[in-house]
Amino acid sequence: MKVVKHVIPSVDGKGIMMGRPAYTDDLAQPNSLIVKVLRSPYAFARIKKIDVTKAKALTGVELVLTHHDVPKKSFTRAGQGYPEPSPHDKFVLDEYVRYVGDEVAAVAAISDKIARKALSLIEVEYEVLTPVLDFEKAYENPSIIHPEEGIHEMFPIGFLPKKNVAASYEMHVGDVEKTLKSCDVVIEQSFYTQAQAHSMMEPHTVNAHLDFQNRLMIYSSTQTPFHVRRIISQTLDHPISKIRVIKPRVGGGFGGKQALHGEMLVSMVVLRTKKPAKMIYTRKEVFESSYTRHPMRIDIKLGAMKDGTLKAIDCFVLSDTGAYGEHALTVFMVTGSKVLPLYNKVDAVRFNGQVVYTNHVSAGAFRGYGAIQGNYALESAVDMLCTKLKMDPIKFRQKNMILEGETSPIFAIMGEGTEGTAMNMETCKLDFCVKRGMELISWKNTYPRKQLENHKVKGVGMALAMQGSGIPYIDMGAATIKLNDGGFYNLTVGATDIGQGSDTVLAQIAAEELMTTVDKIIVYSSDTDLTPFDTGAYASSTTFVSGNAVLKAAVNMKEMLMQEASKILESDLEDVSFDGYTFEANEKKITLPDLSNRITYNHDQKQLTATNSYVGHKSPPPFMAGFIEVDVDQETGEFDIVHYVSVVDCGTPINLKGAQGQVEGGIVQGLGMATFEDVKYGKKGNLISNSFLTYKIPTALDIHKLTTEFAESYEESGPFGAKSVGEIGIDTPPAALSNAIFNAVGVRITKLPITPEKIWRGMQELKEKKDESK
Amino acid sequence: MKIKIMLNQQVKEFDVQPDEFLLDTLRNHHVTSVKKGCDQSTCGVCTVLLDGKPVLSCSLLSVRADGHEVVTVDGIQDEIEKISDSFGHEGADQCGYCNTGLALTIYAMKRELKSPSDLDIKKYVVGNLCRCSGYEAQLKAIKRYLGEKL
Amino acid sequence: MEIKTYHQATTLLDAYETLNKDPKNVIIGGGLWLKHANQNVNTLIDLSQLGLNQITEEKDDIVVGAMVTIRDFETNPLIHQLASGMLYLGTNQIMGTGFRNMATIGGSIFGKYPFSDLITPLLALDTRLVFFMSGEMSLLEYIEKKGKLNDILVYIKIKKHAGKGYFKKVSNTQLAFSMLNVAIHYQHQQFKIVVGSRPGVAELAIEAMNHLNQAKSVTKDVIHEAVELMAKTTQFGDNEDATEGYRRELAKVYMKRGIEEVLA
Repeated sequence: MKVVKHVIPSVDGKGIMMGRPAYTDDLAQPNSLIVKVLRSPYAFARIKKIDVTKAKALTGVELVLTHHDVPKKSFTRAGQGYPEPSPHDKFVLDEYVRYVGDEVAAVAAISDKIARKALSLIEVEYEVLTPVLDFEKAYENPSIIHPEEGIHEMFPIGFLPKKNVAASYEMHVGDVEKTLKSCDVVIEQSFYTQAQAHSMMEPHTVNAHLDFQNRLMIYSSTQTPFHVRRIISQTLDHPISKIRVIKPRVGGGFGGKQALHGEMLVSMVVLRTKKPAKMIYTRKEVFESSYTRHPMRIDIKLGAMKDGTLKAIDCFVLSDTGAYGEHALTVFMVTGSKVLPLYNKVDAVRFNGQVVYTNHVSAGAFRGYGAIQGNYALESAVDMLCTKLKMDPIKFRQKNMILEGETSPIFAIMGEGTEGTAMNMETCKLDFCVKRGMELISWKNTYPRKQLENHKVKGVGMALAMQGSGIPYIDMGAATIKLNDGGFYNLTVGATDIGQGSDTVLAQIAAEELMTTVDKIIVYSSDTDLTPFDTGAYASSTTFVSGNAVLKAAVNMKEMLMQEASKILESDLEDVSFDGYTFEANEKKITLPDLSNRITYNHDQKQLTATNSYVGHKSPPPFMAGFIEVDVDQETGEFDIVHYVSVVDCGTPINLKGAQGQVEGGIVQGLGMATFEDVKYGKKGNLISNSFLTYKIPTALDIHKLTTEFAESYEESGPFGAKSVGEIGIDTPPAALSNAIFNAVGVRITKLPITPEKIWRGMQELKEKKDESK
Repeated sequence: MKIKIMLNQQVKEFDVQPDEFLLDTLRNHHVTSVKKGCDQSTCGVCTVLLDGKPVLSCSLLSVRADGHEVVTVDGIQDEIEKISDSFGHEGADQCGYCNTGLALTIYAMKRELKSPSDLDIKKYVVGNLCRCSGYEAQLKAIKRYLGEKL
Repeated sequence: MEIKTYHQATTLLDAYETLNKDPKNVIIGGGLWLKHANQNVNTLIDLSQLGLNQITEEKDDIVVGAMVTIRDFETNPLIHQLASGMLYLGTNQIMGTGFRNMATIGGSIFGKYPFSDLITPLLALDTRLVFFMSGEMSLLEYIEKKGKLNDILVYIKIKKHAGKGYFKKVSNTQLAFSMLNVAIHYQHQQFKIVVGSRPGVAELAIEAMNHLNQAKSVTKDVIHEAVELMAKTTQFGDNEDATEGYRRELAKVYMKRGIEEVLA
C-alpha cells in the first residue's frame, strides 16, 4: 500500500498551527448576541417564581427566556441514532432544576458584561428539595428527581423515573449460580469507578445566525452535527429543511460533545430575535454544566477450577447517570458487552444492573464508554482470582482469553440498547499482543516485583482490553467523491473530525483506492447541507464505517473514470489500465488532468461524482494488551509511572503516527482516571473540582515513557483491513496500574482513583495485620 | 483607555477597558489564532509572547501590555511552519487547539535554552496542557524542531 | 470582577497614597489571581515602572525587587547556586513557564499563601522583607503577623548562605498545589527545618531543630527523635488533596530524607 499504513502528516495540522480561523468561535459573526445562562445554586429545587422584569429592562438585553417561554416538548440531548436509546427527559428550560449548574434561565445581550449583569438581576424563588447525592441510595428514594409529566423512553429500556431508574438490563448465558457452586475457587469483589471530566481544551461553543435564505445556520463544536439538526428541529418544531449545522474544527470532544450543549438555547435566541447569537461555556460551566463519565459500582464474581479454567462470570453494575439520562443505557451495557467477551469460553455469564438518576452533573458519553469501568473491575478481579489460584496472571489469561476465529454468545445478545450482532473474531491478535508486550516491558525480569534502592520497589501489571468498531445495523456513514478539472478530487463526508484525524484518514483511504496522493483529495466534512449523512464521531466508528463508505465511493469513481477513459481512448474497457495518473489503452494515453479538463469544458461534458454509504453488519473489536511498570515508594505510597507498553490489534493502522497518537492519548487519559482525576462534590452537591486548579489532568512531566506497537492484522470487513483505534487506548490503565501496585506492595485498591495516600494506608493495614499475627 | 502595542511588528492602537484582558482584546480584533482554553491562568492554550517571553494572555490586562511587543503565530509564520512540519511528521497535532499557544512556547524555548534535555523540554512546556496527544509525540516533534537527533 | 481604574504608579509614595485612598484599591503583582477573584476593584495600582524588577548582589545579601518574576528569579545564577539550589527547586515547580513569566516574587510572598512553594525554602534561609512604610522585618515575623499588612513590599533580602539545602514538594501533578512541602538548610552544623502546605502556611519545626542542633552528634536515633518531635509539635490538617495523617507521614519521611541528604 502506498498511502495507507504510512506516515502521512495531517491535512489540516499546518493551517491550524499557523493560526488560520478554523474553530467554532473563530467563525462567529462579529456582532453576535452573547447568550449566558443563569444556573441553579441548588442540587434539587423547583422554581416557584421567576421574575425577569429587571433583567429585560437592562439596556443591551435583547431576550430573556424562562421555562414559561419554551416549548413543552421533552427530548434527549444525547447525540445518538433515532430513535434514541436514551430517555427523553429534558426540557429546553424546566420548572425543576436537578443539579448545581442546571439551566434556570437564559439571557441574550449585546456584550458579555451586560449579559452577566442581566443574570444577576433575575429574581428566582426556589422551593429547595432534598437532593439524592448517593447513587447507592437513589433507587426508590423518596426524593423523585423526574416527577414531571411528558417524559418517556423511545423504546423499552427499563425507564422507571418514579423509582429514579433511567434504565436497566439483564442477560445471562447458562446458569451462573449453579456453575459458581461447582467451582473450586470463587472470588467476589465490588469495585468503584469515579466520574471523570473530559477536560478537552476547547470549551463547548456554538454560534448561529439566519442566512440569506432565512435558514437557521448553526456552527457548533459537536461530535454529531446531524443529530443536532434533527433534535433542534423536533424540539423547536422548526422544519428540518430550514436548519443547517456545520461542525468546524473541534478542540477535542472525547464524548463530551456527543450531546447537545448550547445549541438549543442559541437557536431559540436566533429564531426569536432574528439576530446572530453565540455561547461559549466558561471552563467552570464545562466542568459543572456539561457532562462527566458515569461513575459506577461493579460487583464481580468469578469462578474457576484448580487448573485455571475460568467457568463463570457474574457481573452487576450500578451506574450513576446524574440529573439526566443521556447515554444511560448504552454506556452501562458496554460495561458488559465490550469487556465480558474477553473471556469467551466460560460456561455461564450473567450481566445485569440498573442506571439511576441522582442530582449530580449529568453523566454522558466518554471515550471507552463503559468499557474502561468494566475493564477495571474484570481485569482486577482476574488478577485477584489468580492470586487465590496461585496461578500466573499471564498464563491464566492465555488459557482463557478469546482468540482468533472464536466468538462469544454475548455478541449476539448485547447490542447498544437493543439486540446485538453475532460475529466471529476474524482478527484477534491478543496472543501476539500479550507476548510482545511482555518482551517490551521486560515482564519476566520484574514480575511480580523487584526491590530497588532508596525505599523503592518496582512492580509490573497488565490488562487486556477490547472495544468495537461502530454499531452494526445502526451507524451509517456516507461519502461523495467529485472529480474536478485539473485532475483532483473533492471528498465530502459527514464524518466528524474532532481532532482524531478522520479527515486525513479518509483522504488516505480514497487516495489509496484512486492510486493518488493525499494532496489530490480535498476533504470537506460535517456540513448537513453539503456533505452526505454520517452518525458522527463516536463508538470508534469513523475509520470502519465512514472509511468503508469512502472506499466504496472511491471504487465507484474509479469505475466511472475507466468508463470515460475507454470512451476517450476508443478502446474496450478491459484494455484500459490506470495508474492513478495516466490512462493507457492500445498505445493511446490520456492523463487524469487532461481527461478531467476535457469532460469539464470540451467534449461530452459531464460532472463525475460518486456517492456511497456503509452500514456495518458487525463491529470487529480492536484488542490490546496494556503493560505498566511502576516504581513505588514503600514509605509514602507515591509512585512513578516509568513505562507504559501498548500492543494493539486495530487491524491496519491507516495513518501510522495518527493511530499511535490515538492510543497514546487514550493511555494518558486512562492513566489520569487511574491516578488523580477525580470529580468531587461538596456536601450540598456542588462541584468542588470545577477548574484545572482543583481537577488535575496529566501533564508532560507525569508521563515518562510510552511504547506503542501494532500487531500485524488485516480485518477483511474493514477498509484496507482496518478496524478502529479511537477508544481502545483508554481501557487498560486503571486495571494495569491496580495490578502493578498489588504486585509491588501487596495492596489492592478497589476504588478509583489509585492515590499514594490510599496505597500508603493499604501498606499500613498490611503492616498492622502482620504485627497482629505475630 | 488607549493603548499602543507592537503587535507582530506593527504598531496597533486599541481602546480598552481597565479590566479587559489581552486575549479578549486580540480575539475581538480578529486575531483568532490566540485561543481561549480555561480563561483562568491554568492551561496555557492562550499563550502569546510578550517581549519574547511566553505569557498567559487570558491573565494579562491589556493596559499592562501598553508599550510592549506582542507576538502571535501570525507574526512568525516561517518559524511556525517549521514547527508544524515537525508536528506533522510525528503525528503530534490532533485537535490542534493547544497548538498555537504551544508553538509560541516552543519558539521561545529554542531561543532561551541551549541543548535542553528531554526533562528540560518537558519542564518548559509543562504549562501548555494537551488532552489529545499524551505528550509523547509532542516531545519527539519538539526535538525534531530543535534539530536534535531522536 | 470589575476594575474601575488602572493607575501606573510613578513613585512608591504615589502607590502608597493611592492604595490608602479606598479600601477597594489594590496593588497588582503578576495578576494571576485576577481570574480567581470575586471582589470588584476600584483602582488597580501597578508598580511596573518603579524598577523593582532587578536582582542585585550586595556584600551579604541577594536583593530581589518585589516585581521580579518567578521565572527571572529561578533562572538567576545567584539564586541557582544558593544552598544546593533549594530556592530554584522551590520556584521551578510552580505551574508553567508562562505563569512564572508573570507571577512576581513579591506577590507570591505578600499573600502568605499556605500552599506556597517559595515561602517554605525562604523561611529556612535568612530572609528579610523590606516594606515601604514598615521597613525591614524577617520573613518569619511577617508570616506570624496577624491580618493583612497595609503596606507595599519593595525588596526581599536573602543572605548569601553557604551550606547545604534541601527542598521537596509533594503534589499530585506538576501543575498542582503542594499537598506538603519541606525545606532544610544546614550550615555550621546548624539545621533550619521548615514544613509548609500543612495545609497551613510554612512554619519552622523549632523543637525538632533544637533537638538536632543541641545534639553532640547527629545519629540515626537523634534524627528519628527529631522527626517524631516535628510530627508531634506541628499542626497538620485535612483538605481535598490529603488527610492530616498522610501529611504528617509525608513530613516525617521527607524531613528524614532531607536531613540525610544535607549531611551526606
